[in-house]
Amino acid sequence: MAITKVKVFRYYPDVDAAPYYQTYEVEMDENLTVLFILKKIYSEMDQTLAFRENLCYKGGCLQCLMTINGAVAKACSTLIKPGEEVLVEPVFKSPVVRDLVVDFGTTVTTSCGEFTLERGTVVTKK
Amino acid sequence: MENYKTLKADVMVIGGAGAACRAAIEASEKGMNVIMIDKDIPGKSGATPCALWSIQAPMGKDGVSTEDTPEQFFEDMVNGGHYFGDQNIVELVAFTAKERIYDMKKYGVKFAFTDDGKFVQTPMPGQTYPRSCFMIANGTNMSTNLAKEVSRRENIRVLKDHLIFQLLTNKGQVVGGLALDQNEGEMVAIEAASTVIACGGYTGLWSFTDNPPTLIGDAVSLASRAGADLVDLEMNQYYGTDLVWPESARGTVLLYECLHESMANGNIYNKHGEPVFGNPLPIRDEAIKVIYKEIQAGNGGPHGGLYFDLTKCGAGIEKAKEIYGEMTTKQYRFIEEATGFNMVDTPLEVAPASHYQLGGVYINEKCETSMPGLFACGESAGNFLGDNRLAGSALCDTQTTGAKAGETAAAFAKDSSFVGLDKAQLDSMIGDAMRYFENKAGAVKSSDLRQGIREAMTKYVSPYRSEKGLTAAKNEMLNYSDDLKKIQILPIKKRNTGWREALEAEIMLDTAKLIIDSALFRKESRGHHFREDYPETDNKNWRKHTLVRKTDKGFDYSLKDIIYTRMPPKDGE
Ligand SMILES: Cc1cc2nc3c(=O)[nH]c(=O)nc-3n(C[C@H](O)[C@H](O)[C@H](O)COP(=O)(O)OP(=O)(O)OC[C@H]3O[C@@H](n4cnc5c(N)ncnc54)[C@H](O)[C@@H]3O)c2cc1C
Ligand code: FES
Repeated sequence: MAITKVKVFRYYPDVDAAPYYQTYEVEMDENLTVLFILKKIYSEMDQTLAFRENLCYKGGCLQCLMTINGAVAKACSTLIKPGEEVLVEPVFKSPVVRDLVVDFGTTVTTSCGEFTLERGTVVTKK
Repeated sequence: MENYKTLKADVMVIGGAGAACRAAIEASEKGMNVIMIDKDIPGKSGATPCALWSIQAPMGKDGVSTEDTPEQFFEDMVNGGHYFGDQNIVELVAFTAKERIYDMKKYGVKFAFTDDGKFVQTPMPGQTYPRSCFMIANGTNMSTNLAKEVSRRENIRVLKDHLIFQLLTNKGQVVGGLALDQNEGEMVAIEAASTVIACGGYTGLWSFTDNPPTLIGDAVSLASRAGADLVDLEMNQYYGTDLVWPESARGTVLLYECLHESMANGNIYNKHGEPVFGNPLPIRDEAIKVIYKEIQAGNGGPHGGLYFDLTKCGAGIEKAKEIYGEMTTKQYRFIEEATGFNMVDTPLEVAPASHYQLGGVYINEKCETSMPGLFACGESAGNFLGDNRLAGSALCDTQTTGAKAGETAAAFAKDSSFVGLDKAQLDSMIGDAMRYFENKAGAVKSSDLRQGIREAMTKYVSPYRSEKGLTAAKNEMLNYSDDLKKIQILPIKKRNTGWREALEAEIMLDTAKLIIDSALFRKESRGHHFREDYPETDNKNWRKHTLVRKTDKGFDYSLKDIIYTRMPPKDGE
C-alpha cells in the first residue's frame, strides 16, 4: 500500500472565478490506470469531481483523452504505480464544461466543406 | 417560463453508433428532418467502436467466397439460432446485407481487398462459406465513418451528451422523448413524428462485461415504460475468455478462436496447471460452460479465473505474439499499456463475461415495434437472431435493420401529423427527475446503487441460472428499488454525474427485473439460457419466444410463436 498524489485540474466556469488544482491522496496497492484512479476518487472521496466515465475502458473510444503529466493521453491506457505522483488536466484545446470534461467539438472535413459538431447542438457549416 | 427546452423533428433516432447512424442516414435520405441523439459522443460511444473486424455478408462474386448466397446466409443464421429467430426478419438481414456493405464502403468504411479487388472474407464458426468481411481498424473505423456520414447531412441534427431517459406518449402512440443535456444540466423535450430506438443492448448491466458499462438496457426500459412489447430477455450471450484481472483491463477480450489448432494451438488451464479442454477445442458456447463449471468447482486462480496460458501453446510464444498482435492488435496493445503485462508472456486469468444481448424490443420485418410511432433496430431489437448468434452477425444487423428502421420511420412520419406532447405527462416526468435533488434522511449514493445492481446480475444471472439464484437476484433488485427513492445528489447543474447515475439506475432496475422474470418464466434450457433446475431443451412446449407485455397490473409473461417463412423446423429437430 502506498499513497499516490493525484493533482487534478478543477474548474466550473459558471461558479469558479478561475481554475484551481486539487490534490487527492489515493491509497493504492496495485498499479492502476488514471481512469480507474479518477473513478476511485469519485466513488470514495469526492463526488463533485467531473470527468467522462461512461466510456469503453478498453483503449478504443478515445473519449477518455486528457492531459496527463503535460501530454495528451488516454486515461484508460496510462498506468500509474502506487506512490507515483500524477498531474491530470483536461484536453486544453477544447472548451471546459466542468473539471476534466471538455466539449469535444469534432470537426469533419468533407468534399462539401468543413463541419463542426458543436456542443449539444446543430451540425454547422464553417 | 418553461423549465425545459423543446425541439422538433420528423424522425428522432436514439443512439449514436452503428444502428443509429444507419437509421438516421436512411431517414435523411428520404428527406426527413432528423434528430440523432446520443448520451455520449456519436461515433465513439456504444459497443460498435469496441467490435473486432468481422461483419458478415454474402458478397457472392464480389468476395472471395464466390459461391456464397443470401439463401445460404439465411440458412446458416436459422441453424445457428436453432430455429428460434423470426425468419421474416432473418430474410431482411440475409437479403440486404450485401447492399449495406456497399453503403458502408461509400460512407468511407475501409475493408480489406484481395489483389484482384475482391472483399477478403474470413471464416467464422457456423458459416458455410467464409463470410466475414474484414474491416481494417475494426469497429472504430466503422463507427467513426458512419458518424462522419451523419455529420455531412444537413437535415440531421446531432445532439451529443444528451441522455434520453423517458419516451413521451400521447393518444396511444410514441411522440418523442425527454432528455437530460448533461453539459448544460437542462431538460430537453423532443417532439418527433416517429422515434427509432437504436441504443444498443444491456450487457453493461453485468459488472463483468467486455462491453462499455453505459449499455444498461435503455432500449428495454424506455420501450417497456411506453408500452411496447419485449422479447427473449433471458437470452444473454457470454464470451468465455475475458480478462478478470488486473482491474484496469478487466473485461478485455482474449480471443478464444485464436487458440485453434491451426493458429496458436493452445488451451486454458486451471490452477493445478491442467488443460480444461480436450482436442479439438469445443465450439465457443460449449467452452463457456466448461470454463464456468471449472471455476465453480474451485479450480480457478486467486482472481477467480482460469489461466489463458500461451507460454504452453503448441505454436510457440513468438508465433502466439504474432497471431494475437495481428488479429487483435487493439486488445494486445491495450493490455500491455493498461496492465504492464504482455498477454503472451504472462498467463492471465479469464472467465465468461456478458458479451451480447439476443433479446430486446419486439419488432417485425419493417422494424416496427408494437407501439405506433416507435421503431427499433440493432442490438436493441430482439426476436430475430434466435437463441445464439453467429460471430460477425451483430454488426451486419446494425446496418440491415438500421436502414429498414430509418426507412419505415420516415414513411410513418410522412403519413402522419404531429400528435403533440402531453403537457401533464411531461411535467410529471420532469418533476420525478428533479426529486433526486431533494434532501433525504439516510441518503444513498447513486454510484453505490449502480455497482450493487451490476454485481447482483453477475452473481446470479450467470451462464447457469436456477430458480434459487434468480429469486435471490429479484429480491436484491426489490431492495435496490427502495434505495432508489433514497438517492440524493449534489446541487450541481452541469455534468452532474450523480444525476445521470440516478436516472440510469431507474433504467437498470427496470431492465434487470424484466430479465430476471423472463429467466424465471422459461423453465427449460436452450442457447444462452441454461437453467440448472431445468437442464433439458423442450422444443415441443418451449420453442417459442418469451413475450413481455405491459398491463394495468404490471408486466405479463407469455409465449409467442416464432415466425417461419422459408425454413420451418423439421419434426424432431
Ligand atoms: C469487444 C466486442 C467485440 C465485438 N466484435 C464483434 C464483431 O467482430 N462482429 C460483430 O458483428 N459484432 C461484434 N460485437 C457486437 C457488436 O459490436 C454490437 O452488437 C453492435 O455494435 C451493436 O450496435 P448498436 O448500434 O445496436 O448499439 P451500440 O453500438 O451499443 O450503440 C448504442 C448507442 O446508443 C447510445 N445510447 C444508449 N442509451 C442511450 C440513451 N438512453 N440516450 C441516448 N443515447 C443512448 C449509446 O451511447 C451508443 O451510441 C462485439 C462487441 C464487443 C463488445
Ligand atoms: S476509455 Fe475508451 S479509449 Fe479510453
